[in-house]
Amino acid sequence: MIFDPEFLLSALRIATPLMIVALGVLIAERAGVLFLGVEGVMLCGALFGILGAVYTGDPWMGMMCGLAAGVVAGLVSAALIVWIPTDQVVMGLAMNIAAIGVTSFIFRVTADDLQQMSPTIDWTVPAWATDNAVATFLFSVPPLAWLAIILYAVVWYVLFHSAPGLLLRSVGQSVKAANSAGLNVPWVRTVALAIAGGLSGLGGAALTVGWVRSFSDDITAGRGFIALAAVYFGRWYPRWTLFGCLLFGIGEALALRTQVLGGNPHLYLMIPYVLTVCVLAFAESGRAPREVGKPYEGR
Amino acid sequence: MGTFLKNMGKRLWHIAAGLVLAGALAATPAAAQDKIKAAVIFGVSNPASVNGWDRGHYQGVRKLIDGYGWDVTIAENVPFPLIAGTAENYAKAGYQVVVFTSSGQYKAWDQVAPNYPDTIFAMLSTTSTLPESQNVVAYEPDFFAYGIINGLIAAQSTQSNKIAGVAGLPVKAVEDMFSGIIEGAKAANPDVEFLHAISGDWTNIPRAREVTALQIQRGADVVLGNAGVGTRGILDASQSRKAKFIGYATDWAEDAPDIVLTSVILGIDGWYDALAKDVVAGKVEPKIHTFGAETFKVMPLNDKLLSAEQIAKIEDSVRRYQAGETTVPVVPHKFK
Repeated sequence: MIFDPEFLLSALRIATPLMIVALGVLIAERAGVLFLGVEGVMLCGALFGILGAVYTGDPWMGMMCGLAAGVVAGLVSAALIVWIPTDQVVMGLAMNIAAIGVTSFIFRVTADDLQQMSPTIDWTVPAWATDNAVATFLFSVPPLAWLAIILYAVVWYVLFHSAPGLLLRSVGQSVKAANSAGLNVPWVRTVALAIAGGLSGLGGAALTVGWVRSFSDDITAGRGFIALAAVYFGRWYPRWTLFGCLLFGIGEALALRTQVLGGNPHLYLMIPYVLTVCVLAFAESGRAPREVGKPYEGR
Repeated sequence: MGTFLKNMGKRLWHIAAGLVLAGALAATPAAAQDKIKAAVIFGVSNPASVNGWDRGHYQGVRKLIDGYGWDVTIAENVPFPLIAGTAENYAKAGYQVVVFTSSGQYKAWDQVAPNYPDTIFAMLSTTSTLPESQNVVAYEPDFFAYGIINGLIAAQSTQSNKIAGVAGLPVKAVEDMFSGIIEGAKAANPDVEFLHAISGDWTNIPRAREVTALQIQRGADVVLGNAGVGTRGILDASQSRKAKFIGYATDWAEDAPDIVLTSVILGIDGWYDALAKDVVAGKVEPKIHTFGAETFKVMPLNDKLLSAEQIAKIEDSVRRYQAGETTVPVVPHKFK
C-alpha cells in the first residue's frame, strides 16, 4: 500500500510544480540573478492560472494565464533588480510579501467565482493501455509532469549545448568578461528573468490548475523556496535539480502514506524535511555562478 | 530661529485644530453609540471564502450585523501567539463582546478574560472548561452527535463498506466527530470500516488532497472532511476519483454538485443568535451552552448518487436519532 505505482504518481504530482519552478530559478541564477522573489511569482501564477481556468473554462488557458502572469512578474523583477538596480535580496523578499497582499486582495474580489472547483485537465488512460501495467502507469503520469521533464531536457540542451546558453552562463559567471565581449548584460538578464518568471508562474498554475483545482491565500506555502533549495542542492545543474525536486516529492508522498502504519502523524510529516536536511548535509557543495546576488552597475 | 519657532507654533496650532475637527467628525452619533461593539477573531484569512467552519462563523457575523444591528469588527489571519494581544486590544478599545472562533484560541481566552471584566469574552467552539471569570460564555456543538449523523449517512451510502474521514489536526473537536462517525456508522451498518488521516494543518490544500487520494485508493467511497482551508483538497481528490463527499458545517452542494452527497449543517449562525440574545437580555453567565443533534440540519440528499429507497432510509435513521428514538453509545476513540 505504501510503495506502489500510486505512490510514485503521488510523488510526481507533488514534485511537478517544484520541478517547473526550480527550472525558472536555475535560469535566473545561471544569468547571475538571485531569484529570491520566486515564491511571490509562483503565487501570482497560481492565482492567475486558476482565474484563467475558471473564466475561460479551459485548464490549458489557465496554464497560459499563469505563465503570462509569471512573465509580467519576472519583468517587474527585472525592472527593479536589473535596471534600477536595487538589492536582490531585499527586492526578492519585497516581491514575496507584495505578492501575498496582491493575490489575497484579488482572491477576495473574485472569491464568489472561485467557489466551484476549476475544470480538470482531460487526461485519461486510453482503452488499449489498460491491460498493460507499464502503459497504464505511463498514461497515469500527469501531463504537466511530462511537460516538466521535456522542459528539463530543453533547458539542459540550451544551457550547455547552444550559443544562447553559453551567453547566459557567461553573464552569470563574469559580468566584466561578458561586457568585454560586447554582451548587453541587462538585456540578457531581463530575458532570463522573463523566462524564469514565466516558468515560476507556470509552476504556480501547475499547483492550482493542474493539481488541486482551487486557490487559497498563500497556497504555495514555501514551495518556491523549496524549489530554490532544489537548485542549490542540484548545484545549478538541471539533472540534479530535477532529482532534488523528485526527492522532495518522494519524501512528502512517503510522509502522507506512512500514516496508514498508525502512530503520531506529525512524526511522518517531518520525513520530507528531515530527508532534505540529510541529503543537503551529505551532498557535495557546489559552486554558484559567481555573479549571483551582485547588482550590475556597469551601465 | 525666531521665524522658525513662530512657523512651528503655527503648524502645531493647525495640527491641533485639525485633530479637534477630525474628532468632532468622527464622534459617534447617539444612535450608533447604542450599537453593541463586537470583535470576532479568525485564524484564517478571508473566512467568507473558506467553506465549512469559517464560513459558518462568517454567516453568524452577518447575523449579528444584519439581524441585530451590531457594529462588528473582524480580525483575520491572527496566528495563535497574537490572539491574546488582539483580544486585549479590543477590550481596551471598549468593545463589549469579543468572540473566539476556535478551540485553539482557548489559551488567549483564559489569559485575557479575567483582566477585562467589562467585556464579554465568548468562545464559539468546542470547550470542556471555562476560564475563572464571570464575563465568559461558550456556545459549542456536540461534535460526537454531529459525527453520529455523518456516520449514519455515510454508512448507508457506501458500496465498498469503507468510509474515510480526513482532518487537519487531531484536535478534540475532530476526535469527537470521528468517534461519532465510527459509532454512527456501526449503528447503521456493522460491516463498515472507518479510515482516517491527518493532513497536518488547516491550510494545506495539496496535502489534504493527497491523503484523501490515499484513503480512496484504500477503498473508501464516501469521504468526510474537516481540514479547514484544506477541505478543498479533500473535495478535489473525491471529485477526481468519483468518491462521494459529505459537506462539513455549511452547504457544499454548489462546490461540486456531482459528488456532494449532502452537507450536515452545524448551524453556527444559531450560536451567534443565542449569544446576541443573551447579551441583549443581559443574561450572559459563565456557562457552556451545548447545541445537540436536534440543531444540526441535513441538506437534501443527492438523488443522482442515491436511490429513492436509500434516501428514505437515511432520512428516517437521522430523523429517529435526532428525535431521540435511537440511541448510539458514546465511545471516545483516539486518533493520534
